[in-house]
Amino acid sequence: MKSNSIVLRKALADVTQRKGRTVLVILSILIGVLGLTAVNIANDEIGGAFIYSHDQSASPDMVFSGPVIDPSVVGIVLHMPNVAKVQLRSEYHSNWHTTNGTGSASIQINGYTDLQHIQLGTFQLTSGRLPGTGEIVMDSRDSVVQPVAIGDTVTIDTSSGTASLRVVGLARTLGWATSESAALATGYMQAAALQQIAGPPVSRTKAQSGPELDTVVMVKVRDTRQAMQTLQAVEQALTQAHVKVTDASLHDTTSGELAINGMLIVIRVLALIALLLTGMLIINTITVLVTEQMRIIGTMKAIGGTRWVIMQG
Amino acid sequence: MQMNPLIHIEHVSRVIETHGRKISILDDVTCTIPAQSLFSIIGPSGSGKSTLLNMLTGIDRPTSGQIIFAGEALRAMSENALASWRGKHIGIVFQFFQLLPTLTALENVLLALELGGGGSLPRRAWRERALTCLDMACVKHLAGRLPGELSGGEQQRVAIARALANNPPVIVADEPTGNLDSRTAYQVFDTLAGLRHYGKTIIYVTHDQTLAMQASAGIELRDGQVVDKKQASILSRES
Repeated sequence: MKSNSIVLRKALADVTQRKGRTVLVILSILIGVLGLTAVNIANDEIGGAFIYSHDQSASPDMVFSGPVIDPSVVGIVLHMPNVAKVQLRSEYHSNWHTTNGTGSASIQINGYTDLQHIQLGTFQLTSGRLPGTGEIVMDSRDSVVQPVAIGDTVTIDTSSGTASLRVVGLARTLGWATSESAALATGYMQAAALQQIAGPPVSRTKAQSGPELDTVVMVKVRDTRQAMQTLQAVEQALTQAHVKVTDASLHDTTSGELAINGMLIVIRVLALIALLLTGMLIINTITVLVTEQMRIIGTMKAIGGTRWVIMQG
Repeated sequence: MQMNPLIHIEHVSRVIETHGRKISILDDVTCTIPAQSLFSIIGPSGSGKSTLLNMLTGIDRPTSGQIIFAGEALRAMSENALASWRGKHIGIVFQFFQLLPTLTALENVLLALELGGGGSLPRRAWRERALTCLDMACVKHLAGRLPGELSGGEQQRVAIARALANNPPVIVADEPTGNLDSRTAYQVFDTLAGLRHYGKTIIYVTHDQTLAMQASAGIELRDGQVVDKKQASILSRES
């Protein structure tokens, strides 16, 4: 369409007659805008993933293990001084058969009574759904041990032979990066379903080996400086409740906090640098455009152009 | 017979401040520019010639004093009003032509018509008017060319045609031949000077004494002050 207005025709000619410049200007602005968007997305996604991996808010400060622990002890421990959160879970230590049948890898399957309300040792589904009977959710990082996907069947050793579990979801574990070893595979199941494949607890000697079901009480304290006193008090309370504690240990959760703070500072500094660079790119592009038009603006003003008319051009 | 004054320059001074120091560019300049004259402003570099020209066109404002153009004081007008006024009353020719590089010669003249209101002509008559102006400047045959395809002399002629577009009474030229070789310079100057035959007042700044001598009136500036005045003489349309 041919414009009747010379001012508009001039604006159009500036764009169409100098294609190289127009492409460069559009590219500069696009790179600037895309750069800013990428920085924001990277900040959110990478930072979020890192923080999730190192977040120790759902990691226990102390863990008490025993062959059988009655769920009623949760209420007793929760009301003790300096105790913030308590979570009971079953832990089944077994072997995961490799798909090529040449060997197996160690696996720990965590069983929770209520998978939707986990206080400590929290995981987050990244795909799929929560497991039912005969099903399991595998941690995404288990792929380091051997490839696993939704729909696969995981075969593990049990005291009575082997059991096959269908993978219905993949998850990431809160605080995984600082609390677990990458060489150990992790899965999540319903506590009752885990109990079914593990069978009744058996008393064994240290010399005996094989799949083993433990129950652990995980405790988060309010003040980590008094963690040792709390550990002793909880262990004493469990003993009084006739719970056989085979192991009690303290976990250091402060390293995760340091890692998060360090990473956040790095991400923020990088984001700031990227913001400055992209900002400068955009400002530079606009400055060049305006500078280039300054002489023309001056000429148009000299031959009678008002500010509004010149803006149109 | 003395010609009627068109422009009164009354005690105009211009002072600029740089690094806390005041520098006087124009110092109490007073003169009149007769209607339909060929008026020269001469002087060495830095004498204030271009500054005075910018004052006459309303591009710059005096620190003190005033300029009366056909009975109208320029200082009373806003920047936008001055731009509109310039478009209607003054045609400007620059040393470096200042044609818009993405518009053809014809479109450059049409742009002046659009910005200056079209010299009271209806829009449908603008194209014809633009071609007439190009003809007056002897470049009608170059109407469809872009400035980059023209020589310096041709570009300056297109700039003269653009200055004529709205039929202003005054044409102001700031060193119009300063960027041309001597032969082309005289040809372009002749075209400019010939506009008096259309009733125009031509005000021009030059370094060239030969061109300055052709003026019917003029002033010489040195260090911002008028050091010499050439009285206006009668110029018949035939001259």
